[in-house]
Amino acid sequence: MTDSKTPLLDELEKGPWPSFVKDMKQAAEKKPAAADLLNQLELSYKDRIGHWKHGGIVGVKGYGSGVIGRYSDRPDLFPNVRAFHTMRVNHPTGWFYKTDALRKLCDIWDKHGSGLTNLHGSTGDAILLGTTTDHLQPCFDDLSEAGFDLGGSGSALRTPSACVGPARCEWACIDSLDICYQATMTLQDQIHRPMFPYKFKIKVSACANDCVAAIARSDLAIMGTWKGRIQVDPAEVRAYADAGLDIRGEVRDLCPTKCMEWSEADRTLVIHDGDCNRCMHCLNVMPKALRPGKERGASILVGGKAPIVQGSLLSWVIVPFMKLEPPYTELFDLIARIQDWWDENGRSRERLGELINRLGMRHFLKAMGLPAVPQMVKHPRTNPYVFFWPEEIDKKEVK
Amino acid sequence: MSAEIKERVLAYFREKSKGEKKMFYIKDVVKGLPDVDRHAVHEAVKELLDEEALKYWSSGSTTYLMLAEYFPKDA
Ligand code: SF4
Ligand code: SF4
Repeated sequence: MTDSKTPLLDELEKGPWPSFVKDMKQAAEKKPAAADLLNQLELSYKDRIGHWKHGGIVGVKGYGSGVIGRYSDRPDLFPNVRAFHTMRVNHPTGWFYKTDALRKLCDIWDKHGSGLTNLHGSTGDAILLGTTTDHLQPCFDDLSEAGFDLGGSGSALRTPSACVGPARCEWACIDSLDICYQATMTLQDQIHRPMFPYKFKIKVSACANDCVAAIARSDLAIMGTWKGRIQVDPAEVRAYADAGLDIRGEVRDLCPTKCMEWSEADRTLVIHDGDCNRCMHCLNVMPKALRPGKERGASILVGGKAPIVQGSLLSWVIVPFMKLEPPYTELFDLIARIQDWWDENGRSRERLGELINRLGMRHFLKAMGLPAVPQMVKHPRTNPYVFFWPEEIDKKEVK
Repeated sequence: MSAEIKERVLAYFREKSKGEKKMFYIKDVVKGLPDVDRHAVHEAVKELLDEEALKYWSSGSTTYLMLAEYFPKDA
């Protein structure tokens, strides 16, 4: 028998993985709020019910997002987590911090909050867990002083995020960091002043490997890609073959569009680029031999989301190729048109993808002024009907 | 910003808040003023938020609007 106050949570410290319980116990040595948090969580495990009340307060002066109100429903037992609000801090693009910036962030949070953080939340923000209402504004003031700002929450544009892109990655076809930064700065008002039917997420991956999972998680995904031929270095292709890579089995056969030919006899690789969907598979397997094509830009996709309210959705391509160069006017014009259409037609708590599903892609494309192109086809049609816009039909009198 | 639109937005909240429900989506407000341009309603709401006549209330995932006098006191 143990005299621990948290026997159920202690179980989570066993086993080979790092445990958040250990972190919380460390924090509890310094902060009464962390100690009460631990004890309330133990009670939740015992009662099999969460002991939080969510919602209410939203931010600091001038902001309608960035703070998520949280209150204990047992303040009698855990007075130090009576109020335990979360603050979302807009992360630096690509999650690059200097150590002194991280230190400043942690010092501010030690001063104003529980000291517990979640780096990073699923949207990408630096999440500061647990402070009281009276500390919100002073904490924000200190964060601003240190160069940080709050991120999005509620029915707002959520903090845009991007893969590390050209800063560290050889595959980057676009400057994901700059695009994300410009989106964050240009759309500040949408992040801080929620006026949308629901949340709206923008994520940027600089190639189709999609390291920020933009396709699955964002209403608007910007995905680096190229036009034209994949650059092939035949000598390096042969070197891979010499080194024992099974190019037929590992590369050609796994190409989703079957657009590659591999000749074992003369060890040459031919790519029919017209059928390539730029999935990145072959480039990932043979990075020294294959490089993206020279003309680079992005595909724009819309409608992805996680399962909340309705089921999860993957994004659709709406613009197969957009050249993306500062100041990204074409991109921001498109984003504005999309958001305006969604705001006008969407129901409360309806994500963009759900709205497109409800009204139909053709209505969306018409409103955007975008032509329908083959890249938008999700799957072959399952019904025999052909739809026309009424104005396209020659009105002939039927006798 | 037309003071008249702001007044009508406030009147909408006062009328609708007579019942149990005190929190509304921005889209409810837009629907409540069908003859006013949606963007103008948004602007009016933003000004009323600045003036603290209205308050945001958020669950974290969804944001609502309400008259400041009904905003819950801290637990
Ligand atoms: S998405 Fe592509 S460019 Fe971005 S980090 Fe991943 S592999 Fe690199
Ligand atoms: S990028 Fe993908 S689709 Fe294109 S050739 Fe390579 S494996 Fe095939």
